[in-house]
Amino acid sequence: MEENAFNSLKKELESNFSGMADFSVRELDFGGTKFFIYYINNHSSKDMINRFVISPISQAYLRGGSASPIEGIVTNIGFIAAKDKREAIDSVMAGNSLLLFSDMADGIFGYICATRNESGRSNEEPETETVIRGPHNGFNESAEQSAMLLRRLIKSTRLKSEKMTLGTLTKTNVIIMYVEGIVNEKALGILKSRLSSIRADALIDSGSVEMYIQDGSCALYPTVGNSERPDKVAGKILEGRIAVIVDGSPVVLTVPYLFCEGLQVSEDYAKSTFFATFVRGLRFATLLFALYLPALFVALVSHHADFLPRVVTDYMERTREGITVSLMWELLTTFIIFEILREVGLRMPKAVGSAVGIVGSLILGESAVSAGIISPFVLIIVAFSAVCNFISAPYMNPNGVYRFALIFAGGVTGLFGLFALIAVSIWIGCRKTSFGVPYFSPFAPVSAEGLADFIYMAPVWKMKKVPPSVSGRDSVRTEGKR
Amino acid sequence: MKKREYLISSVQLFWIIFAFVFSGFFLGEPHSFISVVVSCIFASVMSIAAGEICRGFASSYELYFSAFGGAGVFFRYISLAFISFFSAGSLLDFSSGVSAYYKGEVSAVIFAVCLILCVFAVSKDFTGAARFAELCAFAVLVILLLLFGGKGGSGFEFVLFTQDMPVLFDSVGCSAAIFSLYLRAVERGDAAMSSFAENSSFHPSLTLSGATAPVCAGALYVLVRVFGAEQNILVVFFVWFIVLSRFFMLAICVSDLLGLPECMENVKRKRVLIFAAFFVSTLLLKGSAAVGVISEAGVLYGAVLPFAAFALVRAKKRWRSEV
Repeated sequence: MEENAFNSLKKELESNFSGMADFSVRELDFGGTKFFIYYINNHSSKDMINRFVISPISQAYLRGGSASPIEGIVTNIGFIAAKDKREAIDSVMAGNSLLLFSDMADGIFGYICATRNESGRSNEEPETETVIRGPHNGFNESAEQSAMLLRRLIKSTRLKSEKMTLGTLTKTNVIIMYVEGIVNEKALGILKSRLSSIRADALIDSGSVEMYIQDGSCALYPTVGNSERPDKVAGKILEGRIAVIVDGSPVVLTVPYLFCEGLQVSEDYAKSTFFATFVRGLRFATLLFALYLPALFVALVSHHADFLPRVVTDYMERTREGITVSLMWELLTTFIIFEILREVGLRMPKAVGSAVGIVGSLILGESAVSAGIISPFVLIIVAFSAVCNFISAPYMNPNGVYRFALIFAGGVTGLFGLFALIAVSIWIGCRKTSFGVPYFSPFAPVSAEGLADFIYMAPVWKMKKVPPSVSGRDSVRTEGKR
Repeated sequence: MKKREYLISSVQLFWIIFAFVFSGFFLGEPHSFISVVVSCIFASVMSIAAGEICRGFASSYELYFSAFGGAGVFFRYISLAFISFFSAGSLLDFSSGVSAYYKGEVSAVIFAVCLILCVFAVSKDFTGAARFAELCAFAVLVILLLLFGGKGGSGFEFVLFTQDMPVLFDSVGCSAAIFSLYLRAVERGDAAMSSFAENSSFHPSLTLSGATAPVCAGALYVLVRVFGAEQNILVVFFVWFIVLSRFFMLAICVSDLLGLPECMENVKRKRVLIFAAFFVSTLLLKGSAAVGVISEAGVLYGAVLPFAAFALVRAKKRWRSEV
């Protein structure tokens, strides 16, 4: 490359990094040939630059050689020529280093050296998804490492991965992984088209990707699953789902996501079928209690007290003496107070958070009852329903919102209003799909294979087929047990 | 070509017929075991017959046209008129029944809410309505659990009461609805079936689904009455979901008889408006003696017409093969 052309390229590249205090240029001179290495401090590993880029070049010159062909000298790391300026700049911003030297051939805009600093958090067990029995590792913020963890679990060439970059400013790497031959092709097509249609400047977390790809403009209940556990995600991939790994986030997304997944826990598969079925039944009942108990209670007591046992109505009247607000508002207020305490507990530092929880739940509750602001029956209902809501993490937040609507409907219009709201919600859920798969499958529409892993949980060796409700295929996964 | 979004599976068919028969019992409140059994047998026979007659046809339009040619439209609209009377009667019974649980008179509101739900349920497709009926399985499960909270039998007799026989009409009388369901149902091997359904291993035959559903509905109703759970407000609450499935079924039938899934948007609107006007006019007959007569005539018509259609289609086929 001519000296003028080289200098102008250098100047142009450096102008793009102006105003960046963490941008570094390393200048070297070997036998009259000038070398420039561009990188971002700490984003690129200085140690790797020294060991795998500078050291081989200096050794080549010490042996009396030259810098060409450079591909024959820098051989221990990823090393490719940049075909245009944009690629050269983007590679530096992605954590690589860019090598320029005066003897470069024309048409090359530098050499990209894969010296990205990969040091990060180790694969610790996620706090939100702890298990007693099962692997104790989790994803971290590196997309490549997360993909590698999945590869460790599914050692097959059928596990395919595709990479794309999203966000004009953040240039976030997104990797999608699926098993060829099992994956739901329709869902894969929808996912790819949704991802490629994202036009945003920033995608920092998998949460923002989820918002872009989910079904519906503002769905209350999730249609995209997520997990920090490699075993759980691998299990989902093996059922025909697709994993979406977003660089910078330890939470891996899975699609399609069905309603029944909120009740499944990876530990269930290591338990006896009887116990797993019992626990899942409990979870389902608990979810129903969390949602419908307060609304049913307020509807029955406020509008249909004549149909309740006399003992209950008498007790309610006694305990509500002196309370001026209606039962519905009493319930709603108590739930709002609970939600405030929950939110405060979550946002506070851990040590203070637990103190807030104790003050809120015990002292505030007890004082409110003694002062005659809240009746004990209401407190019991709210506490029980609130505790039940923690049974399923994916539905915790949507349930909280939906519960308010149910209480309001029950309180204002009684049982029929509550029934109408539930019927409408169920009907909406019945029409809802997640990446083309019916949200309420495997029970609406019914799939026998899927039902073997819903409330009733068949032994793993009896789940002979991949659930067609997810994969849309007739794929065998086990021959059963002898 | 059948439009996939206007189709129902055999499992959905089971639950819809189950809901239709069970809610019919619940609205009609028969007091005798014998009348329940007779109704169940009648419904099962009608289902089996419908399964045979409707095989090879995709809509009421096709069935009636094959049988009666150009006059098929006339017979189809007569069926529609009877369905309209039957639906209005069912809706009125349900709304007044629910209203009894309130201190004030709210039946008009309940009627309107149910009607709106039905219109929305089948306006774009039958998917939501059919899957809703499938979810009645959970309502049945809860009812079974709640049965044990009943206070014991409440006058349910194991003899035949002649005054119970009209219940037969209330529960399964409108057989045209069952025929519409069979016309919209798909079995394994049908080209219109989705890959999801095709790959599922559970495919009961349509006839089996239709024949067993009334029996199961009758069994549940007998259990509810024997345990005296029909007075339990929670049981009643869950029965409402099953009753709503009945209304969805009737809406599917109306949509099929009007030929809405097959027609263009502007024609669809016109037909819906004409039917709405007719439906409102049927409400004006509320409380008159004519309603009872029309209902019973509708039952006879609904039972006889499809068989006539079947006989005609068969005769035409034979005649063509001979020619």
